[in-house]
Amino acid sequence: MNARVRVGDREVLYNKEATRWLGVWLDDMLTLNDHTKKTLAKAGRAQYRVRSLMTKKGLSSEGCKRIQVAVVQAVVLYGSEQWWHVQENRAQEVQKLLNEQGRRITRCFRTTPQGALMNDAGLRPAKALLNDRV
Amino acid sequence: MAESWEEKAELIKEEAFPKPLKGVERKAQEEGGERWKKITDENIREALFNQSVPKAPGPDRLGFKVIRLLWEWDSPRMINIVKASFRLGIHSRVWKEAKGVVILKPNKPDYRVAKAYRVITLLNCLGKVVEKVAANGIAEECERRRLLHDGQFGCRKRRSAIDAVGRLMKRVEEAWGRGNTAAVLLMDVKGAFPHVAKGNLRKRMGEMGFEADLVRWVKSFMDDRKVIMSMDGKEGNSMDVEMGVPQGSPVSPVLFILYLSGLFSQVEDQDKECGSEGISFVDDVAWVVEGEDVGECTRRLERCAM
Repeated sequence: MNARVRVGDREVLYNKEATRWLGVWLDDMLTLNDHTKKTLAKAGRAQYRVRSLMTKKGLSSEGCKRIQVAVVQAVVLYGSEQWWHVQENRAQEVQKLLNEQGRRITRCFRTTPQGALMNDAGLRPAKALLNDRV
Repeated sequence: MAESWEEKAELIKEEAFPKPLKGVERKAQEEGGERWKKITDENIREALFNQSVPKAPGPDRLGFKVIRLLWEWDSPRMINIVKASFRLGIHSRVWKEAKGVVILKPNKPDYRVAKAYRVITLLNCLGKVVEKVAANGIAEECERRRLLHDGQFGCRKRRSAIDAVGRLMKRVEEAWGRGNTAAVLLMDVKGAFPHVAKGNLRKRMGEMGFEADLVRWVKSFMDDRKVIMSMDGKEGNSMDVEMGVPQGSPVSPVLFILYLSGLFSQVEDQDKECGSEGISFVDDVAWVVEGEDVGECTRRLERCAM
């Protein structure tokens, strides 16, 4: 597809890849797959930087939790209203990020059961967060 | 290439505070208006206490904490000042002198161009109380009388950026449901806030049926603005600002969407069969059209872009 639109003396080309509008990546079929991938990657990077504050600057668990919720979760949940239709796999991906956050806050091992981890860290599970926003 | 502080300040000023085009401004002055009588003490109190305390103060260095204290001591005087401001349609000169702080816009490839900088206007907080009262009043009237275009999001209650995206997606899916193709043209309003022309805004407000005293206040708010540029820790002389609404005033966003609202109905009405729909979030505008194939969609978008 090579659609183009003339605007004045310029031409605007059709963008094959996802186009970003108001912070949401809109793709061809409006699946928002690209969007979720990008927000997850972005939140992962943010999560990593917050985590490094704990070891480098001595950020407390409580402080870490607050930043994780306010900053990292806000990034991953942005635009979720539009793509969340209770898909198990997408909730799983978000949950993975939350697990990582929980382990950093509680300093638990990787083998800690998910429910206990979320509870101890004071985080809400992915599905609850996603459902709340719709 | 700008080297000295003055040269840099001048370049950024041209970008952030442009000069109006000649002959574009329209002149009209109306008398009367009773909008100010509808302002209650509670409106003013709300406008003061709903603005967050740690906001940076303007050139007078009085933050909201001080103003709140003043309210406790002598609220009748403050109420009188605000009401008088609207009754007379005058925004005091001391509130129009602002500090323009230059900050970098994030993720720009080249920081040698003036466009990579943003000027944040720090206004005096007492003035901002008056502006907030105006903003609430205008916004309330817009919603009550449905003055804004239905596809306008941003600076409005219960309409977030995500709602705008949702509207766009729904529109496209509807088109697909009918077996058609949908196309979207995204536009950006260039230098949005700084390019609001006061004559046109005033005319637009008059057309929309805002009361004359409020329109006069808006004119006064935009007239004779001055800015002191502050960059790299150094302050310059005060410079005149000839057009635009200041970034950093509570009333600016609502004035801007008012200013832009005429665009949507005009484009949609000029070409009814074209069936375009405008969806916008402040200065981000998207035009959606529906057609049987890609060619038809692009032709329609071209017509609406004209």
